[in-house]
Amino acid sequence: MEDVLIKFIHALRNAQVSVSPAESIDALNAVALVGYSQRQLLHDSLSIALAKSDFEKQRFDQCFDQFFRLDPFNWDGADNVDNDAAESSECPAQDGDQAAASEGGEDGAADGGAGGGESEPGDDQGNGDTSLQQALDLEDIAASLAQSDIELPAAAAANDPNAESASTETPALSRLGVLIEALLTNDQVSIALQIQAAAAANNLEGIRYSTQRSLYRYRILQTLQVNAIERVARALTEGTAEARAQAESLYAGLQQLRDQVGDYVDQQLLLNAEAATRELREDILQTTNLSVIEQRHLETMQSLVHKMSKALVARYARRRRIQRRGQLDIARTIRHNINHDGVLFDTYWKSKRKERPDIFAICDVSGSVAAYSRFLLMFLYSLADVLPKTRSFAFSSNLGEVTDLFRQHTPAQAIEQVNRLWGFGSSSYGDSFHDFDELAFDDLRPTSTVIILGDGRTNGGNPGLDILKRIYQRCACVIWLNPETRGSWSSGDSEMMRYLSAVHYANSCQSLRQLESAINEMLRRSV
Amino acid sequence: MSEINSIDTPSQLASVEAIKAALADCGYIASDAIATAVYVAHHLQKPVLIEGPAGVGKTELAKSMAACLSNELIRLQCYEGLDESKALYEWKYGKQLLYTQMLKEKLGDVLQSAESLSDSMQRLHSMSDEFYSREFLLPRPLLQALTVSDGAVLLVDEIDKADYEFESLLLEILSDYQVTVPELGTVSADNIPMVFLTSNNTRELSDALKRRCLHLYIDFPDSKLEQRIVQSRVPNISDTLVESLVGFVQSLRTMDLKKSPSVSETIDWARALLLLHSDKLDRAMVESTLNLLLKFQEDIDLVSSELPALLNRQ
Repeated sequence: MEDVLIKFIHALRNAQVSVSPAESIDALNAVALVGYSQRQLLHDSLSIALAKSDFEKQRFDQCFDQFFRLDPFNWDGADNVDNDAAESSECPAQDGDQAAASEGGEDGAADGGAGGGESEPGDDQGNGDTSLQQALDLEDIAASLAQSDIELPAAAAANDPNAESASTETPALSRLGVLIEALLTNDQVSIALQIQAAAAANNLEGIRYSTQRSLYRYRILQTLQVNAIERVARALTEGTAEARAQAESLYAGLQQLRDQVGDYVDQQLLLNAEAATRELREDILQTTNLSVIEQRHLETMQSLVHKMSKALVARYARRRRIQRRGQLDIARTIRHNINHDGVLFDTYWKSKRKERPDIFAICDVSGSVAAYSRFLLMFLYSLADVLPKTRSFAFSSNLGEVTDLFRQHTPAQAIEQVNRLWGFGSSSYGDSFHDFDELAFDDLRPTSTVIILGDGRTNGGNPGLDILKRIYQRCACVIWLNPETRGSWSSGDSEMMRYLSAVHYANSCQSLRQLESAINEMLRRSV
Repeated sequence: MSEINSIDTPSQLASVEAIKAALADCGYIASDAIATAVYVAHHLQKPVLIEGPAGVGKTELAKSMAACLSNELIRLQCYEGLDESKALYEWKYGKQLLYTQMLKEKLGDVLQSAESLSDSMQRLHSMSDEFYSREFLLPRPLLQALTVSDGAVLLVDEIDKADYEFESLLLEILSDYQVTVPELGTVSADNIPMVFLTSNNTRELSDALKRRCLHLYIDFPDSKLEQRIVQSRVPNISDTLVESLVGFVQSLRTMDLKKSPSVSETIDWARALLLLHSDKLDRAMVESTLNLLLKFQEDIDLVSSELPALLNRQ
């Protein structure tokens, strides 16, 4: 049963919920505590142990519904299962597989009342007339199958409490017997467990494409020995009226089994394939040229950009205060110890506080870079989200501050607004730098970083190099990210080569990867 | 599992239902999810990190737990710049200073008969060194929570307001219920306290912190639960008023407001309406008391303009 939980955690990880091993252990303990008997209780306790943010809670809910849709624990039959923590930790409903079956003799007595108990051969002996009757019926079936030399071990086990020899010798047959009995009694718990065991044997988690569905379905049904079950059913139809009735219910059960296996395969495809294709897609999107990414990938891009900026900031946030242990800050120490009679026992050490960079980001949104600016703005938006001291500006013919727009709106809205207000004109770097000079120059500090995102094509106008020079001299770092490759920087109306004299670092930035390494460089320099 | 069973469980925490009942006695109406979280947290001995919008009863849960277990509530309000000397422990500097002076006076007696320098040194070392000892340790909330003799409820309120570094400070106490004082060694909990952390999500907490906690998200309650909450907090209110009042607040939450009204504001509003002897919502009354529910003028304007429609929906 822990197996099921581990598979569920695996599915959660596929759904982008990050679950650490420590959290898995919490979940196992929590489940041992509350048991599987009540769906809502299970949901709540797994949710608090595994999903730890708003986003993860949502994903968790989806995943939980999808994963436990097959209803293998028969929630409605909750009254059967003991809710007590101690007992449910070794509750047999969780161990209905072959391993437990071999121990069935010992556990059986304690487990009598629980959901999956009936499926265990050891139980058949002491537990009610109906299951005894079943066992006898199975003996009949075994007799009718004499030609294929099959001796049903479930029946054999009924005579032998230890059941060990029988089930180890012919585990497949043991499973068959259990399954037939489960189908006859419509024991959903046992059937679901059998399906899961068969799926595990066929490595169903490896399923990636919808075209593999029928193959997996076939293999699982083969592992469940449906052909043998059909033979049993056929043999039964030739028997007495009672046997014919059993055959009918067996046929019905078979049909249900096929449907369930189909459902299970579909579900696993949903749980597993999505993650694999998503990884592939993200990988490709990261290296694709930003100008050719299609509209429909925007959302994925957005989350990628956000992830990236968060990771970058997290990496650098920690280095804010560098302690220089070993160097006594004598002035501070004396000052603080004056009221202790000058006895210096409360020591202060020299430390250096590193400020987080305050960033001024200027983004070109003119027509020539329209394809890129969407992503650059997206990136600016995420940056402003994680580095609160970022001020953002956008320009084409004129420049304006968009910091507040980013604060107040969702990414899509903000980007649309920025484009409407400032976008798609022809770029005039001279005027725009002039505007920036007026708007923000006084706020630039020696620790500030200025990022300029643009192609440096001035349409022959004033490049505003003098202003950029002043900015360059005033702040810690000026970074220019250009969506064009280095080769075209000196062509046409590009003033990029001249701008290079007034920036600390310039690079071309065509894909997310390049953007990431450029920003990495920036943070390394400014921190 | 034996480890889990060995925890002695007060009757209030015996089952999810018992927790709900016990909390209800203290005036806290808990949903299933909340009660489950408390139940699991107690039995796994894990801290609970509570997130959710402001005013849904995150802090109140810890307070009510302390009340219904009749344990001491130790509260640590977080703010920017909170550090270990305010959260964990501090040395009693004044007394330490007196101690050194006392030592100086006694020193003469001890060293009187010493013959050589090495002999004096030996005597000096043989004296017990009390300078860093428990007597001089001033426990702050976190350490206090570990040393309370009959269990405590520790509430670390608004952890998102504290610095990033402060989270790391919490890790040891959250995972092992112990605090390491460099001069003394490790102080472990005598009785493991029940720990609640609350966060308003103004910033994302570190994964290390989240990993050590169970994570409970409390959202705005549905109307049924909110009605019960209002009724338990404002006992004299009539059923019809509660129903229409909660319905009105719930419909406000679906609107695009700067700040949605919280549960505590619903309760305040209910109290005010009761005080004003109104037994149903009429437009003039709602308009004049709207500032109890909404805290931004833009929101008030927006709602006022749609008031007839909102009230008709009831």
